[in-house]
Amino acid sequence: MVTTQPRGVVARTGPDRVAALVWLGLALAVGGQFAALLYAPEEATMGNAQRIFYVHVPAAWVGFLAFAVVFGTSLGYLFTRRRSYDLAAWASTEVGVVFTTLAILSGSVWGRYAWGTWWSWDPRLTTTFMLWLIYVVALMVRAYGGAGGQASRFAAVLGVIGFLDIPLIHLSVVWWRSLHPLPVVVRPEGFGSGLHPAMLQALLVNVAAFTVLYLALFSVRRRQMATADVLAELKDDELRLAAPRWAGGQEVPS
Amino acid sequence: MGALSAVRLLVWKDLLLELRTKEILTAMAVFALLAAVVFNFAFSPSPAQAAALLPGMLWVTLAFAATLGLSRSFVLEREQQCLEALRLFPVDRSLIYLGKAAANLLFLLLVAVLILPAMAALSGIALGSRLLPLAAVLLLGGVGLVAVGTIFSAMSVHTRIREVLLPVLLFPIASPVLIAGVKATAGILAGWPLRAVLPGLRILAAFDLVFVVLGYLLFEFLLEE
Amino acid sequence: MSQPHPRGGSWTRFKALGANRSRTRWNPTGGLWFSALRSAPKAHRPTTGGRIGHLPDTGVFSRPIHWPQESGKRALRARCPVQAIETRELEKAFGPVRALRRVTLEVAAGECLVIFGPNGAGKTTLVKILATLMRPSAGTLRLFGRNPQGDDGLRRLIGVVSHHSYLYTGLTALENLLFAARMYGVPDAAGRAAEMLEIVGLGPRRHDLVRTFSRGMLQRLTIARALVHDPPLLLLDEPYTGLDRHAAETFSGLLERLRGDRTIVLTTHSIEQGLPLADRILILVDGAVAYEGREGLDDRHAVGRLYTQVVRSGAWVH
Repeated sequence: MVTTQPRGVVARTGPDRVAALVWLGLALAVGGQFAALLYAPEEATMGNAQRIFYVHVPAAWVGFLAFAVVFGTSLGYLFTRRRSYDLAAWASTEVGVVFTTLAILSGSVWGRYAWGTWWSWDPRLTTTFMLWLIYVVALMVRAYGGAGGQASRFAAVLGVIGFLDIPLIHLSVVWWRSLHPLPVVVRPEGFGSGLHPAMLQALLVNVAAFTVLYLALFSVRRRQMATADVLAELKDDELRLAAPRWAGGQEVPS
Repeated sequence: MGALSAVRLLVWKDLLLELRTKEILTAMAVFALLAAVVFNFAFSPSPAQAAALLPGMLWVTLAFAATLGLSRSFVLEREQQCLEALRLFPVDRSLIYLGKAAANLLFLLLVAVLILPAMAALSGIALGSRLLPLAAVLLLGGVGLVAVGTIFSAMSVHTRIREVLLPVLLFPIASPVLIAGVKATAGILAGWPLRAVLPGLRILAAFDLVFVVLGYLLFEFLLEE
Repeated sequence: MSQPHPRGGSWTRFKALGANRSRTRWNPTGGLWFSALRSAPKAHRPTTGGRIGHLPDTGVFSRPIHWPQESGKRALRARCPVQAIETRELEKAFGPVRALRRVTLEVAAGECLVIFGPNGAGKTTLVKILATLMRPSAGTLRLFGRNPQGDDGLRRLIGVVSHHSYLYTGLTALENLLFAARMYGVPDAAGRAAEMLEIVGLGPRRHDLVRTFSRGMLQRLTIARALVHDPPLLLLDEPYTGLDRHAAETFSGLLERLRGDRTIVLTTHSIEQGLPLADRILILVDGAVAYEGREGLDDRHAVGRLYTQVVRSGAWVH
C-alpha cells in the first residue's frame, strides 16, 4: 500500500524511456507491415488475403504473452501485496484485451477467406475467444469488485485461475472438435515446416513489433495508474488537513 | 481440531441450515424442472433430436442451477457477517472453502439425480445400463463446477452485482467442464466404447484436481481484508 | 511558577468547597474540582502513565485510580508477564486512505481498554486487526506474545463481539452455540453450550430459531457465543449499537460479571456506556492515537471534555 512503499511516481529527469519504447514500437510496426505487404512473397493457395496472418499471429502471441504477465504479476501480488504488482496485472489485462480483440477479428477475417465463414469453432480461435472472455471478466471484476484492495485481490485470483484454465480449455475444445476437423489450408505456426524464409522473416519482424508495442502500451498504462494513485493519496491528505478546522466550529491553531 | 472433522462440521452446519429453510434445494430443483420444460418448448425436438439435445440441456441446466445454489449459500453467510465468524475459528481458513464446496456438491448432485431421470423421461430416452458411467461423469463434472463456483461465489457475494458476476465468472472458466461433460454424456448415451469417452473423463478429472487444489490455496487470500 | 503536588494544593481547597454539593457515582466531587482547576494556574501535572499526542495541555486533574481487584490483577500480571496485546506502529491503508496511522498500544492481561473515537476514526479497523480478521499494511501485532500471522490456534484465545451477531438466523440458539463450541474445539461442546445459554438467561429459548429473537436477546446470545470457548481476550466492536438503555445496562452488567481475568478491548462512541468498565481509555482520532491513559476515569465529565478537546484539535501523529 502507499504508506509503506515509496511512491512509484517521482519527478524524473532524463530520457523518457516509455516514450522511446512507443516510438520504437511504431517504427517496428511500420517496418513490419511493409515487410508483410511488400517483402514477403505471395502465398500459394490463398493469395494476398493470407497476409493478414502477419497481423493475426503476432497479435495472438502478444495476447497470450500479456496473459502470462497477468499470471506472473497476480502471483506476485498474492505473495507480496505490493501495489506495483497489482497495477502491472491491471495494465497487462487491459492491453491484453486490446491485442486479443485484434487477434480474434483478424482471425475471423482470415477464416472468412480460408474457410468461407466468419466464424468456425476452430480450436485455436475458440481458445483465443475464451481467453478474451476471461480478460473481459477480469476487467469487470476490477470495475465492480469493490474498493480497498478487494478488487485487486479478486482480479489476482482470477488471473491465476484463468491462466491455468487455458490449457484445459484448449484440450477440451480440441476433443470437442475432433469430430469436425477443418480443412487445413495453411499451418500458421509453420516454423521450420514449410514456411518460406522470407515469410518467416516478415513474421518475426512483426512479432517483435507487436511485442514492443505491448511493452510500450503496458508501461504507459501502468504509469498512468501509478499517477492516479498518488493523486488520490494527495487528495485524501488534503481532505484530512482541512477537516479539523471544520470540526465543532472552533478555530484551532493548526 | 482435525481438518476432516472441521470440514464435516461445516458441512453439517450447511445441511442443517438447508434442512430448516429448504431454500436452496427447492430453488435449484424447481428451476431445473422449469428449464427442462422451457427447453422442450424452445426446441420442440422430435424423439431423435431429443436424444441429441439431452446432454446439452442437462449440463446447461445443471450449470445454472449450480449458480443459484452457490450464490444462495454464500448470501446466507453474509446475513450476519457469519463469514467473518467462520474466519475467526481456529481452523485453517481454506477448510471453509472445502466445507462450502462439499455442501454445494451434495446439493448439486441431489438436483442432478432428480433432473436426469426427469429429462430422460420428458425426452423419451431410456437410461438403463448406462447409469454408472453417467454417474461418474456427473460426479466429476459436479466437482468441477462446485470447485470454481465456490471461489467465484465467495468473490461475487462481496460485490455490488453479485447475481450477475457469478455466472459471468463461472461460465468461461468452467467451460471445459461443460464442453467435456456434454460430449462425454452424449458419447455415453450414444453407446460409445469407454475408450472414446475416456479423454473427456480425463479432462474433467484434471480440471477437478487443478481447481480444488487452487481453491484450497487461494481461498484464504480471497477472504482477507 | 512552580506548584506543589495537586494532592496537597488544590485537593484541600476543593474538599473544603465541596461540603454541600451533591455527589453521584459519576461525579464524586460534585463537579467541584473544575472550579479548583480553573483557579490554579496551568502547570505541568504529573500524569499516571497517560500519553497524549500533539495536543495543547488540557490540564486534566490527575488522581490515582482505585482498582477494586488490585491484588487479583497484580497476581494475574505476575502469572502472565506477556502482554495480552502489543502493537507497534500499526498502519492500515485502503488504497489512498490511511485508516490507521502508527498505532502503538499495549494491553496487559486482565485489563479492560475502552477505545473511544468519532465515526470514521478507525476503531472498527483496529479491532478487526486485533481480531486477526484484517492484515495490517505495516507494523507488528503480537497477541500473548505470538504473531497471529499463520497461527491458526491463536484464534482460540480470542472472542469477538461485533455489532453483527455472527449468528445463523436459520438455526436455533443451541445449534448456533453448539456449532461455535465444536469449531473452537471445546471439550464438552453440548454441555458448554447449554451452560452458556443458562448464564445469559436464554435457557428457555434454546430451541427457538434465532430469527425470532429480539435485539437484546440477540446481543445476549452473541456474547454467549463469543465466550463459549472461554477466551482470555475479548474484543467488542461497538456492542452498544442499537441497544436501548435497559438492554445496554443488562449488557454491561453481564460483561462485568463474565469479566473475571479476561482482557477486554471495547470500542464505543458513547462515553457514558463505555467508561464504567474501563481500566484504561484510548481515544482514536483519524486513525491515530490521540490519547491513551487513565486520566480521571471516575469522572465522566472530565473524560467528556478531554474527548471533545482531542477530537476538535484533530491530533495528528505522523
